[in-house]
Amino acid sequence: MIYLSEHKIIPYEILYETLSNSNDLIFSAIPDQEMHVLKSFVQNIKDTMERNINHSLEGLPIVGHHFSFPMELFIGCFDIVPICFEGVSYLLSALLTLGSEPYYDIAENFGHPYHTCTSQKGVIGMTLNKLFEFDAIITPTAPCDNTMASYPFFKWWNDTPLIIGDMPTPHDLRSTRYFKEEMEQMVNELGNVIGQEPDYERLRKTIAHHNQALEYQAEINELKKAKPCPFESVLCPAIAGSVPLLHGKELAQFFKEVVDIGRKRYESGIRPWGEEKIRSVWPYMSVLFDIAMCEWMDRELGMTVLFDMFSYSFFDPINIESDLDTLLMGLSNQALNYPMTRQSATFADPFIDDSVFLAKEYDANCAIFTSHLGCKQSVSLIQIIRESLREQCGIPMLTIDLDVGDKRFTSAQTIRKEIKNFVLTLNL
Amino acid sequence: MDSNIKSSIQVQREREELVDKLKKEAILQNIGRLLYIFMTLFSKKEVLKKLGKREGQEVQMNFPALSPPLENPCLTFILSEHPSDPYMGPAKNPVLTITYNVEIEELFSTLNTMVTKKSLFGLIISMLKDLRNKKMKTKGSLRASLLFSKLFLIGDNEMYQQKD
Repeated sequence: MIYLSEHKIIPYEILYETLSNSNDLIFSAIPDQEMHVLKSFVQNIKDTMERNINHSLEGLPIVGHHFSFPMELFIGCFDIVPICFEGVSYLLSALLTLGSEPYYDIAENFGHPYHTCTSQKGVIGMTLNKLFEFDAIITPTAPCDNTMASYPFFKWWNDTPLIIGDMPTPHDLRSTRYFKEEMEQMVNELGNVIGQEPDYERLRKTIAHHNQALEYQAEINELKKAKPCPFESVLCPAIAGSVPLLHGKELAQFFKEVVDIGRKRYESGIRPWGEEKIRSVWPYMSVLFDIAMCEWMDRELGMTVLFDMFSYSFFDPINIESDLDTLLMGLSNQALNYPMTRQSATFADPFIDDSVFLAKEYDANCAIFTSHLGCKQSVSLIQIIRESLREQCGIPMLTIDLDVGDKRFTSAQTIRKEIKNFVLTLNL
Repeated sequence: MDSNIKSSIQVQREREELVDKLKKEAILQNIGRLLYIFMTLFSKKEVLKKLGKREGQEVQMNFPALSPPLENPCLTFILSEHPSDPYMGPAKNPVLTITYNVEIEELFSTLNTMVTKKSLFGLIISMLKDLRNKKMKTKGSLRASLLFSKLFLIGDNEMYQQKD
């Protein structure tokens, strides 16, 4: 079926509408000194959605992509509308009562297995409902089997060009070079599909902005060492949402605002939401279908979520003065260390090491592992991570079986009850 | 050729209608999610703990501005000590029905006025004003109405007294 150029990204239009309304109500109903991070996140994402919708109306190619990938490469090289599959599914889960559930059901009724990851299942349902019209889709063969099994659906369903970068399992120098060549191949293929020549000079500018974002993120990581932590726990899911949805300048802008908030609070020592009693690390993901969960932990339990899997990126900035080969090597290195790819697309050591490192470095009292239905490879590590944290850091880890994007598996009330009971055992 | 153009126009119209319906559904769901957040985070916990016989009763909120395209633009809250998101659709046996007769553009500012009142007295005055202006209509138990209003009354939360 041929559509006209309008409404090629309907879920982004819905998100924009929702974010605008949420923004209005949050800004008007919540006092100025409260929820700075959430307000900044909603405002920045809203602006990005608006820009993407306008670019789509201008006729720029719609390029779907996996979240765990440095999209700066493609946004820098081409004029495109980037659509992050996982971001769409989970932002809707956070903002709407039904979230992406109707679309999970459409995908499942079509025959997609129920136990696959909801992050892609949502967009599969949306595509089956003809809400998206992609010109191309790009993804690495990472971080998981869900990705590799779900993305080819789009090629099969309506013959959307699918451009895949083969990511090797070991993450060493040889792999970095190999994946750099894969990325070059992806750029060339995408250029052919959308009829554009890659603009590598503009790529340098995009990377410069991304470097700036990384500097701010490093400062956020440092500020989190302070006791009490100067950030609301919602920063973790906010970073999880911002990294794949905001790029270059926009991401730098959001992180700068977060740093400003953190510095101000660190200097004044004021945390509007109350005392910090517990510092927790979440080796896997935050609960994304209940945006109030983090605020509840902050306010009711005095529990700070310091990190989840998506909220720490210890990348080195890329030298934008270097030759193209070095530039792409830098991006390839980032791709191999992207959140979730770093922990899940290679041997298990980084996942375990990162969990222990974060708990030690940031002086956590406990850990909470969200055992996501779609993520089999991470579930296989739960016991090893629990034992490592107990032996090396002396802290306990709670595991909660759930689907991070579908509240019908484990409800928000049940999760809160489990966390509350766990906190009682901490004797703090 | 002509039939192709017609079909293309038809497809476009259908998509316009679909977008309109999905956006309005999103508005409804978003209202439900935000009210749930306010209720669980900022309202007085004592109110939730003292629901007594009201536990499990349903309160329906109607938003006629979203119809059409939505056939039944309403949210149903189930009163509970452990609240959950409201569901879209009419209640089976509502103890209270509140109808907001305002345009879509005014919906969120009306809700803002409702939730940020500093006291129950202030809220009642505001509700009486809305009732008189026909912005709002209620049907059902007065006590349930007061209780339900208290659940969303976040204006007296201590965060409104603090300064950063």
